[in-house]
Amino acid sequence: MGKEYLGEFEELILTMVAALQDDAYGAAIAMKIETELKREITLSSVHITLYRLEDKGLVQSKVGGATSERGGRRKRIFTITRQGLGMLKAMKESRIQLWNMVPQLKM
Amino acid sequence: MKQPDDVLPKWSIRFLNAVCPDYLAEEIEGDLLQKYQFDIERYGARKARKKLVWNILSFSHPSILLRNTISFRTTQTIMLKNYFITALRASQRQKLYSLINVAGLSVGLASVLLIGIYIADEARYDRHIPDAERIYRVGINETFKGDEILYSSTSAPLAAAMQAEMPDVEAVVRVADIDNPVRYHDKAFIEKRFLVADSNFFEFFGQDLIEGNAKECLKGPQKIVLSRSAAEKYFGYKGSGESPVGKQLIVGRDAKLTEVTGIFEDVPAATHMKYDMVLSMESIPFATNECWGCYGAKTYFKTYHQKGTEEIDRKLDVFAQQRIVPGIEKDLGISHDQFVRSGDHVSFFIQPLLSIHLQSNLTNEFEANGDIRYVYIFGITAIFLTVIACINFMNLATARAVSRAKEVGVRKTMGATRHGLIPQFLMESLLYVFVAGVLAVILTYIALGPFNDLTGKTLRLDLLSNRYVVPSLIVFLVVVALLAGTYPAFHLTAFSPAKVLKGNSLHSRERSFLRSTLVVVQFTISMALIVGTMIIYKQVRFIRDHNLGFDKENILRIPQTYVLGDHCLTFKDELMKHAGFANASFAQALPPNILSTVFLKVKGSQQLVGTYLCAADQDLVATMGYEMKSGRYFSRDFLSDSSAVVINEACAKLLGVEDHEGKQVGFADDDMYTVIGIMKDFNFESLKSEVQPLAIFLNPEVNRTLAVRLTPGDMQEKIAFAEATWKKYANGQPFEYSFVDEDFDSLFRAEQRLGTVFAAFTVLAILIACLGLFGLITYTAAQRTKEIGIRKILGATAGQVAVLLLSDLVRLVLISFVIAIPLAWYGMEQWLQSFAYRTDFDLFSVLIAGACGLLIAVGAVGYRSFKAASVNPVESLKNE
Repeated sequence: MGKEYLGEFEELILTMVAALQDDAYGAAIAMKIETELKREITLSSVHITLYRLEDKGLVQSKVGGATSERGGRRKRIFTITRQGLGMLKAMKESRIQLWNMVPQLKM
Repeated sequence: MKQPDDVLPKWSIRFLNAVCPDYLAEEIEGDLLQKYQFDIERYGARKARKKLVWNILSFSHPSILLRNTISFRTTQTIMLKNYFITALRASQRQKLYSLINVAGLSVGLASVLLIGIYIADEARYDRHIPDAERIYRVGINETFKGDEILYSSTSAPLAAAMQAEMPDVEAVVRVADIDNPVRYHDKAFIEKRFLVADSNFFEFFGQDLIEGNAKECLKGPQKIVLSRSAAEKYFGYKGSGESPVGKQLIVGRDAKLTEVTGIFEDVPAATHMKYDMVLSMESIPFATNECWGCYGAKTYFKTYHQKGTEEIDRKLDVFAQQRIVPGIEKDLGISHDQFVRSGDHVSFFIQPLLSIHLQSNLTNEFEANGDIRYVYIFGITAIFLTVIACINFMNLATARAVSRAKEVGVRKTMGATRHGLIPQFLMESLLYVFVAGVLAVILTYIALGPFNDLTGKTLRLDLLSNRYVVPSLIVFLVVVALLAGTYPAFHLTAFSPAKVLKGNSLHSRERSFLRSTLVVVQFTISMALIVGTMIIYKQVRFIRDHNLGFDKENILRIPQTYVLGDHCLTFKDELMKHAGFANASFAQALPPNILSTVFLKVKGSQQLVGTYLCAADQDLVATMGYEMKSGRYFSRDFLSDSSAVVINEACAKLLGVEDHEGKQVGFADDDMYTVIGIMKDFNFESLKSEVQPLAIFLNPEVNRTLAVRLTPGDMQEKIAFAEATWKKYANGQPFEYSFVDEDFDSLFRAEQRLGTVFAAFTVLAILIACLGLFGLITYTAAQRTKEIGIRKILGATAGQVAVLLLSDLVRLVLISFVIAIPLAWYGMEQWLQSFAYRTDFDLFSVLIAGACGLLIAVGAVGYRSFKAASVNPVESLKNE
């Protein structure tokens, strides 16, 4: 693998899935992004990206429990796969590697 | 607390169910709800509501929608198959109906395809050139005495000045076209697709060479680059074997040895600039010409980016005012103030390369360009044809409602819903349209040959040439199917089964009104097309028969006689010895190719008149058959004629000379000629303009073109004789000729083609409309079987019944006629405006068109209605 390329938003969502662990589902991820990053997104873009990541084999999903605030509807919980984790690590390392090449300017 | 389920609006659940795959819908709804709760706390109820709606709608994203396909297919295939079978059965049951529908649709679609190919070809011009949208051409506008002349050729120093002084300009190239004789051993031709261009020509237009170096091949004088087919013509070049590069051609009137330095692939047909040979600019003196007021080559330039060109426009204007205008003022001997006050002006303008083919019509274009108006006319015709074909379908479908109504009734009783039946009827129209579509493609292949002959193009239908062709064809067919099928589908499925099955009459006034309206639309279009065709034909015939003011028949034009050198007069004398040649005269140019212009004035007067100019020998009037109004033409008996001039009536009028006696006319007060005669006006240009002023000067040595008046009779023998005589003196240079009347005809080739193509499509439109009428009357007659039977029992004759059936139709045709006239009148007036000499929009052709329309309509349905009327009433009434 390794050749596969992830977009910025895809990377963000993948990281969120890894971070939220057992509580990673569409609405939770969207809300987390809005609160943590102050970034407004549409729910559909989160879902679309999650499904795409699943197609690529970077996350897995299973249907989880329902709560009353969801009108009794069940969630789809996403978990990151080994492949996804590897991808995330590889990207982080290459980032750091590149970042080290940047001359250390005074800020 | 409000139950969260309530907050999701009902429509949104339906929407999400439609959009999202089933296995995802639940969690998406849940997430939406949860997010909504979260948003209420964060942003307040109003904003949260807005966000909810937006969130719901944005789930219609393709990557969600596309996850649907599999489940959609499984649920629908069974019904689709059923729809298909039902549609097939319905079409087999009604053979005549199907035939009429498919025939009308396929002819209509084929015409639309043809027009589509034609328009696509016109729009494709010059798009193969890389960066075409950044390339422009400079033109010159000279306005004198309110007479605007637009030149496509510009001054020689312009290119270098633009390159040096305009930072936005990336590259500039000058291109001139000249008809030049070219020779290699015994192969000699006058090359008409011959360019002279600067050395960056191939780089500028992004053209690769098969052989030679694109950057170097046009550097230095007497270098020439050939197209593949020109190389084959002269050197037998076939892409391999011995290369012509490095060989020498003999080029030009001065027969200079010129080295072949490269070969390029033939240029495509869809370009305004077609060429087989490109000679280096340094080979002609124009390359280093310093004169800003002399226009000889077209100037193309490329900008760095596709930004506005205002800055370039502004600088070009400065060039015109500072470099061209002073020269003109000097020539005219007037001050700058006088020039400005006179209202005259000279300016540059620029044209995007891609607009040249369809929108530019300047003097000295490379070829007669296309015309955007004709593209519109054809496009509208295509839309009309589609409309007519669709109307046929709708009309026949609604007319057939009686027989289909029972079917619908039974289906509904068995439990079919209206939503289930609509796709069934749409499927039917899809089936018809696709069968017609396949037939139309076949028809188009067959018709393309004749269509190419008519339009003078080399169009091809290549379905696979471009990956957009087939999909767009399918989209078009689906649109037609929906257009034609939607109304019948909704109309037919609306019947209440109880009423239909009880046998209640279905004669609704609304429906027959709609049908009548549609027929009126069809016939209005057809009649307008008939009138249009008649007017175009009338105009073309009018122009062709228009008296030019001289006898244009039987005049042979032999161009480029200068290649005969000292033998010009011998050649002429030898021709005159043959009994088939009545007269011959050398002239600078012959109608319709007189292009030189000059300013004339009466002695002592300040007023300048721009006139066309021609130099000729003493035999011109006798040869061409021009007539003198007063005075005489040049004669060998008067030695003083070398300082004399003959002008035409238009010129005399502008100069204010009523009588030639004792008048002096010339270029300046110290350069005067005696007017010895005034010629009657004759047309030496296209009949799109009035007769222009013309002055003829005597020059017995002029040797550019020979006009020969032939006696009527066998032309081939005389031309063969002229060619044989030519060969004796021409030193291997090619012999070419044309007839003056054909030269005039060729000016109107575009109009003639328009007329023929238009006529062909008119016939098709009428044909399709008549097919529709035929079907319609068949079904009306079927509906009224009982009525006809009863009328006949009560004593009506077959003729009376037939007239009854026809009278409705005739009324509709008459109404369409009344509507069509003003439409056609308006359209054709617009077109006729572009001619100085034009025929009128007369009542006669309008009435003929009306009579034609009526006759055709009655002819199409007369037999059918008479047949329906002559059925024995026993037959029609026995079934009850």
